[in-house]
Amino acid sequence: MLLLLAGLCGAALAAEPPAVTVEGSNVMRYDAGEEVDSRRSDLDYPDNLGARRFFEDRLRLDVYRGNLRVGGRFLYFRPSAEEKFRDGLTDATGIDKRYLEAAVEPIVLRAGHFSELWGHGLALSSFENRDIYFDSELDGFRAALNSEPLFVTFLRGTSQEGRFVKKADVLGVRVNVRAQGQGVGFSHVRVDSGAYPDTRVSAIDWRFARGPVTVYGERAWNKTVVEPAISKGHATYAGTVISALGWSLLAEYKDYDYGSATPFQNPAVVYRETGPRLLQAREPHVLNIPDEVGYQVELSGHVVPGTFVTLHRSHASLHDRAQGGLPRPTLKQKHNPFVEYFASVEQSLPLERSVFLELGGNEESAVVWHRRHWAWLRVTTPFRGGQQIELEGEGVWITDRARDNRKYRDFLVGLEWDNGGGLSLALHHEFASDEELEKREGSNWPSVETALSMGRGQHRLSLFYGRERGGYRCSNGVCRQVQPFTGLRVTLESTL
Amino acid sequence: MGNAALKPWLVLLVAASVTAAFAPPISAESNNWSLQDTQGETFQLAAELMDRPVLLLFWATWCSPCKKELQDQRELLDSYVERGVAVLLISEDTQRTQAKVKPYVESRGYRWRTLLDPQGEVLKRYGGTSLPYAVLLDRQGQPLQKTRGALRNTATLTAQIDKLLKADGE
Repeated sequence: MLLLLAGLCGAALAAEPPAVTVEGSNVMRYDAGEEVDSRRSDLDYPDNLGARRFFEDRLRLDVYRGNLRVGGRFLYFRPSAEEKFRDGLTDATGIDKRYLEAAVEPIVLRAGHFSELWGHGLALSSFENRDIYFDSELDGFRAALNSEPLFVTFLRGTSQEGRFVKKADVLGVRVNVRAQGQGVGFSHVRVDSGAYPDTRVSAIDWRFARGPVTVYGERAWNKTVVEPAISKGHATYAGTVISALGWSLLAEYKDYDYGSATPFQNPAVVYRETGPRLLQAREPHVLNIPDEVGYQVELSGHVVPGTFVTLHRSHASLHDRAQGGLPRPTLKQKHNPFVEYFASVEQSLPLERSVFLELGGNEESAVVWHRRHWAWLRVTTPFRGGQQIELEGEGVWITDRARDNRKYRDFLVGLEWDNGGGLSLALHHEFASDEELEKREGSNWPSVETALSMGRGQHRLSLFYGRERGGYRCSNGVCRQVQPFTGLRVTLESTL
Repeated sequence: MGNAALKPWLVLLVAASVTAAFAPPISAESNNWSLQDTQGETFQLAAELMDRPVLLLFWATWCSPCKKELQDQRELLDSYVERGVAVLLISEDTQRTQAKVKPYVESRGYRWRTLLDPQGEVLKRYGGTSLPYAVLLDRQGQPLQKTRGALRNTATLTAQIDKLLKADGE
């Protein structure tokens, strides 16, 4: 069958015009140095270090010819010994993604690998992130009818066995009616064999807009069969954006009570996921998809021209089953509450200078029980014509409530120079006063990084040398712990 | 594709592929894509090119260099628009942070049309692997220049746009 498919497509591609277009990219990364070896956890730094040799090259090519599209990715992957041991990663060489897509208006058919997002991801969100080795992309078949205002998608596919996502069959259908910025969608997804219990999720999502007000959301119902029992759950995500007079107010609510969810359900986090670097190294909050309730409110706008402010507050926790009425987050410690608030100001100054300042705080009692306050400052100024200098500083003050309210501090200072012609140089130094951390990975992390753009920006070569702190690397609510690293990192990104 | 249960669909796909291969092209290859914008409208590049050069700026609300680029190059980008270039912001925010795109763009007062690419499909389509990333398309929608990292050295980009606009006797 595949030979027949390839033969027919080959014949089609060999025919006369339309012409063939090729788009592609290549990302290569090489690390050489040392990292903390988890097999030596009984030893203190630096005796707990082991050699790190890492190499990855990802070559992606897409070929277009009229209504046909075919593509794939070649992966050459050599993880470090530590990643093999701790994360279960293995060497890989070969084509790990491939697809064929055909469009016959208004239908688009695709066989092979694909990612998919329905509504706000409460019923289905499959995607890949190589930074954290999360891959819920499906290998199978997808048919989509795109005839505005009606959009219908049917899919069936199998996920690849990996660290975060196991092999499972997924079947789904979605009907979406939308026009003029408003619409309603219905999704049904079934994970019916493989590593996960038989799970069915049905969802309805909506979006309506009138003047400066937009409301959107999704409600999902799931049923999980764990023989002989069936567990039922639900999830709600609702939000509104009001934009007027140069100000915007965002208010969002989540009530994720799936009970049990598969990696193919990936709803909105409803808190800020990225912020100051130091916070990322301090066990950031990770969304608990099966059981979490919370909200976020964010107001942003110009106080006066040139002064942009953001005010944010979010609060989340496990469900407090003793509550009545609308589920809402609690501050009770046993429900792992997470509260965060910050205010930031970006001030434009004469001569294209700018200053950014953020002050914030959060408290979490889940993986760790920390109370943190931080300040984040960034000053940018042009320098000798097209050049630019940026000075950055971060400070985090932590009270470790699980360790008798012990206090410690993390600091970062950075200086970056950009010549305006594609060359940049950055110096960073982080230091911390945490004794436990010092035993594990030291207390100073200096580094230098230079990046060079070449070929009208089509290629970017980056060289990093120094120490990189360990911590969590998060994307879409999924986090992977990264070990501290000391050494040289070479990254080359190319657009073909 | 090795899944036996999928074989009936493969037969359909073969038929569709052959039909698609010999059917008149919907548009010129890689510019046949569509995304929703922050107003919920569907934007289809091939249909809305209108014989104009297009500058695609890929960014995300969590990407500080991207936001800085938009702020720093605001005047320049507005001048491109005045000269007839379509400037499109393409947000790579996933559903997790997508709700912040509209408030951010509107509170900043950016008037460029903002599209949502939560799956990164369009970014991948133009060979993008990181943010910020910019692609200049000619009047036929074919990529003319791709820039990794922030648009700092805009002289080359402006020269390309000048050339495109002069070809039409601006």
